[in-house]
Amino acid sequence: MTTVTLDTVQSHKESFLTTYVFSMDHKMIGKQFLIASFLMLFLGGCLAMAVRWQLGFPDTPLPGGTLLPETMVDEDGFMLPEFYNVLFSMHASIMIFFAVIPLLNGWFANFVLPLQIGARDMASPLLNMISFWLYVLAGIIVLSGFFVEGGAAAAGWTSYPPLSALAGMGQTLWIIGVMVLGFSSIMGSINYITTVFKLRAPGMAFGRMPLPVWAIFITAFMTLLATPVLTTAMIMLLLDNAFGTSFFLPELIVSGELTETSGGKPLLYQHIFWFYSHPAVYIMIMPAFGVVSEVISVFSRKPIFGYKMMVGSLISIAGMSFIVWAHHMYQSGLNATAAKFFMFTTILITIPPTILIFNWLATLLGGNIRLRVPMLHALAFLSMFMIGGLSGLFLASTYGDIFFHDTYFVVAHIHYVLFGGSLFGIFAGTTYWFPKAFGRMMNQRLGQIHFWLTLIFFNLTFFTMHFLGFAGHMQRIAEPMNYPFLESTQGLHTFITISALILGASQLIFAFNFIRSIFRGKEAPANPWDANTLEWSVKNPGHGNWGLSVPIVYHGPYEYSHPEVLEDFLPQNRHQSGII
Amino acid sequence: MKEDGYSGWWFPPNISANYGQTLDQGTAIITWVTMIGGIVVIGLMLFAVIRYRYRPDRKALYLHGNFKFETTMLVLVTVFTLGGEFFVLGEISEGVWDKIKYQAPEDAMEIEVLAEQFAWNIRYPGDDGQFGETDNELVDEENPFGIDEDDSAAEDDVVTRGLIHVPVNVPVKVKLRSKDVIHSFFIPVLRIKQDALPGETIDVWFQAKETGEYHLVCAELCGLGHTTMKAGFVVEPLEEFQSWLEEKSEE
Repeated sequence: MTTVTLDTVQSHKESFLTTYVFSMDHKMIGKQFLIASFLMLFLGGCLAMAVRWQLGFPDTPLPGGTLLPETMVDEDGFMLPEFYNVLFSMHASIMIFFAVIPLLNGWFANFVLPLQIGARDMASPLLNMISFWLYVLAGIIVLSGFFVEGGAAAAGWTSYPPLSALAGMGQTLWIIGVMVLGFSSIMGSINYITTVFKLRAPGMAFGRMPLPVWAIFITAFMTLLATPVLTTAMIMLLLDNAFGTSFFLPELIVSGELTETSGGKPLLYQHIFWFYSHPAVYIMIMPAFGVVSEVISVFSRKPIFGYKMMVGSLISIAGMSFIVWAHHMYQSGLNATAAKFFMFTTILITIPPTILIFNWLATLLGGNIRLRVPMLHALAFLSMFMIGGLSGLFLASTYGDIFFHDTYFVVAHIHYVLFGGSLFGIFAGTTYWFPKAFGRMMNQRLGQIHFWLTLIFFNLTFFTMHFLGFAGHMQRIAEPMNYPFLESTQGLHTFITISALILGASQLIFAFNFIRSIFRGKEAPANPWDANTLEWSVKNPGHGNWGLSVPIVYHGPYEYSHPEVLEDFLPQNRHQSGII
Repeated sequence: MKEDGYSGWWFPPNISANYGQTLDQGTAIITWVTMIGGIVVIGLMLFAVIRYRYRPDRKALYLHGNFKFETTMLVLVTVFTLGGEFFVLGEISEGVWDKIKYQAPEDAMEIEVLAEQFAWNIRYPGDDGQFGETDNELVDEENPFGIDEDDSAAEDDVVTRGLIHVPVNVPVKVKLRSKDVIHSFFIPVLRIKQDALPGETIDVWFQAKETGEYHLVCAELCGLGHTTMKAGFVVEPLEEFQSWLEEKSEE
């Protein structure tokens, strides 16, 4: 039998430019998203370090501060309050829009989705390429804010008007950038949905789709339905900011001067923004739910517990995420009926994630658990995400939110969900699929060191922030020591900063391991984890996925440790009579 | 000045005479429930990881799920979460929210608070209990509210900047406004927080049960001076409050 690979069938030549830059290969686009988002993650992390320095060591100039322009620091190298506002605003914007969302919905979605359903590529490779380059363009636009007069955006990642509408050029660029990024997300999501509907391999019924595919598929629906709403808000905000309209602005008195604006409502923006941004909270985590389910099942050598219940939970989270938005606005002057309604829906939406956690636990129990690096991260995800979910209860409740709203409790909560949840999910998935993406294994020892340092110092950094929240410490203030009732928190702040600096430095271990392994790692076999899903049945990297014919799927993705199979796994495309 | 009773680790003192105690109790219940829940889940996870660690001679349990178990879990979780919110905390059933945010007592003393970048302006209606008319056109450095001096109700209005005095054990209703951007009226010791929106007047009410000197701070990012935006908040006996107000009105 002669084997014909796709490379020999498709004989068109790829130049350097079409292979590495303007590539239409889903694997390459996935890796482009991975590298670009990791760079953004690094940048966002550096900004966070500067924020922490200011809070932890307010009497010591920022290291290297004197090198920064005088719009950011004074002559001694101390940070100016306006630069502090820029730092946390850009930290959050970069992390949310340019790191977490594209890592989950760009890197995993592009790399994993077509491979796991047995497709040769995305439904539209061209649209896929445009989606990546719009993301790059959006990043350049937002970051260019650092170089314009007045500095980058400083109104927080939520950019509430009137503050954002009254701000300068940096804010305008932020709005345009977020809008462009929205187009990128919409294009990506259309592509993912179409690919799942049209390009599944023979036998890949919906009931046999691996959970990462389900999660990305459902997330794509959320992105598709919610992102245009964000774009609406951004267009109106842009008009208010740069062209003198008043969608969100009533008559104002700004520094003693009456403005020409009239008739707008600041709250309108918040409703539109959160109508997108609450689904977006799940866009920032749902693909990680899928990734973690996969990793937990593979490394427990056990079928995922309650597959249908998992899918049902993901779908109900997505549905309900559209009717909880105003729980971000309890203190904004919401009327009583609305407050009750959103409190009720918010309580409802805690149910499906609880089911996910129980199912993950039930998968672990009775397994044969291998604690490889991806699994460590997946277990960290399970426990840290759960803490984030539980601290969310304080904020969902009317009792808690009045006090905790806009305090460090919220900062702690969001970091448990986005770092403890999403980022550990990203580490789990990245270390899991690294061998497939680069054909080499990552160093296990370095991976373990990175994991433990990250887990420990993540908790020392962010768990302590709950206490700042209890102390009533407002977020987004550059000089907490201005407030007599916060003087007792300086020790905590210093402790958090030291932990955060170590946490940040630990990520360099990951970066080193990642880069080194791409070039020097041990060569990886095609299926290093003994996993069932289709991506492990293709040879490592290279162009194209399968040869002449796409694989035929005979089983569900989680047939681990089947009593009638000799090994403890059964690839989806290996026929074994009697097992469906 | 270091204020008493602040640990920096836990709630500041609670001087609220109305709902503040309920809020702390509710939060305490949530704290216990979440702590127990968290410890149980992490404990189960660690148990599984240790008890079922990899052994080459063993095969994992082949189990895709169990319909009965899954449905029971779903029902239990639903009953527990909804029941907890409805009946244990009574947040929805008892309408705690309405009471906190909207049901100020009829006899509450009214004051007006006007937030601006980056200060708090406070207005007392004076002896007549009536606020004078205001007009945005009249706003200037001396007259932050833009009070119309021709209005007879305006004559005894008292305006302060960065300082609120209130009498102890008297319900106070704040008419909250903002001049420019969104601010948030936050008095930690009273467990009270409410955004101030430009173009809107929002009512907030509270009742303090202990005298002392505290702070009103801004909890919503409002620009580069956000970090400095605070006001003194003084709770004192009624007589002292009245003489302070008198003194201020003579200024």
